[in-house]
Amino acid sequence: MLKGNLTCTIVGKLLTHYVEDNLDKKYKEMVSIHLRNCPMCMEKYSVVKRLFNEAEKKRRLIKEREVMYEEISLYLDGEMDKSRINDFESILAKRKEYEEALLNISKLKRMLNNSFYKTKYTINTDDISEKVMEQLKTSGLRNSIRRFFTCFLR
Amino acid sequence: MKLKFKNDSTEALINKAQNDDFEALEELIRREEKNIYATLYYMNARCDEISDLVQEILFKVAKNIKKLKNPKTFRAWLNQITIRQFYDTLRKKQRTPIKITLENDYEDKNKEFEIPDNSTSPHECILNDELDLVIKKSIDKLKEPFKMTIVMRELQGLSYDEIAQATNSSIGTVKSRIARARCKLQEYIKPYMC
Repeated sequence: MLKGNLTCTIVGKLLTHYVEDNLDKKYKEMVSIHLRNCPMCMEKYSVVKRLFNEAEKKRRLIKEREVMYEEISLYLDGEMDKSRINDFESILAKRKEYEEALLNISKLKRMLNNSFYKTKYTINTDDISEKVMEQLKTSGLRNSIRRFFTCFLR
Repeated sequence: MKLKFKNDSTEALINKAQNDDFEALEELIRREEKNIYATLYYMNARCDEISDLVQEILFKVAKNIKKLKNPKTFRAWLNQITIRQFYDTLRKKQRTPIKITLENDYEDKNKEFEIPDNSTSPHECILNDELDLVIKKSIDKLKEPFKMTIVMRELQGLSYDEIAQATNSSIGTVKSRIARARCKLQEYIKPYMC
């Protein structure tokens, strides 16, 4: 049906762009006139809009969680700006999810550190450094012999 | 550890090593060998290749120590070499085709056929604590840049700045990588956290 100078097929194609607010003023107006006059397209629009809002909400939550983890990590690693520490500590006192995440991350850090420490001190490196020094000395000797012969041959 | 260098900081050792003190150089690489070994172990390099890889890395460090201009950037520099060497080996491994040869079968008919032992290696035996294995597997599940970043941070205790230098990335990237790696690790290890 032609409403607002647009057919339902074209509106169907423009719908996602309309929901994401990517259309220019002229098309936006045309689509909204069409939607007001066409119940079928309006129904489609409400479904798309709902899905879009849900996805947006999820994305926002993930982003917030990432920001929270980033701040807590900075705080625990001693990498946070001094000017930010006070503000952050007041957020920590107010918001339970921050406190919970902080506890979890510090627990995780402790677990990792213990495990890493154990690994580091139980591995046997077979005196690799001695072998390296040997290798270095022989390569140094080889180079001086080569240098000597190149000078000699010249 | 040599008692002579007991009180020397890494920077002091680097200064001495740059002035042709071989003993100081040896002490310097001895202090770092376990760090690098463990880093590669968590990066999941093959057990039998780790020793060779560590040797190559430390050789490069020892050979080029004079090229290091600022001793403060030593850890970042060392890790840069580690990363480069690790990925080089991975690339080479992908390029080398697997060779299958039947020659040995004709030569030693009497020799017993050796079955490769895929069970835990001596290193892993020591680490056969369930939790340690869970941690290793969880780190292994992370994608490459996250894995490297979290191992450098937690195992070697590098600062964000040093990690950024070693991985050639910005501080912002390091921050978000650490946060996301921790987020993921926490999910994986959650059942074991008490």
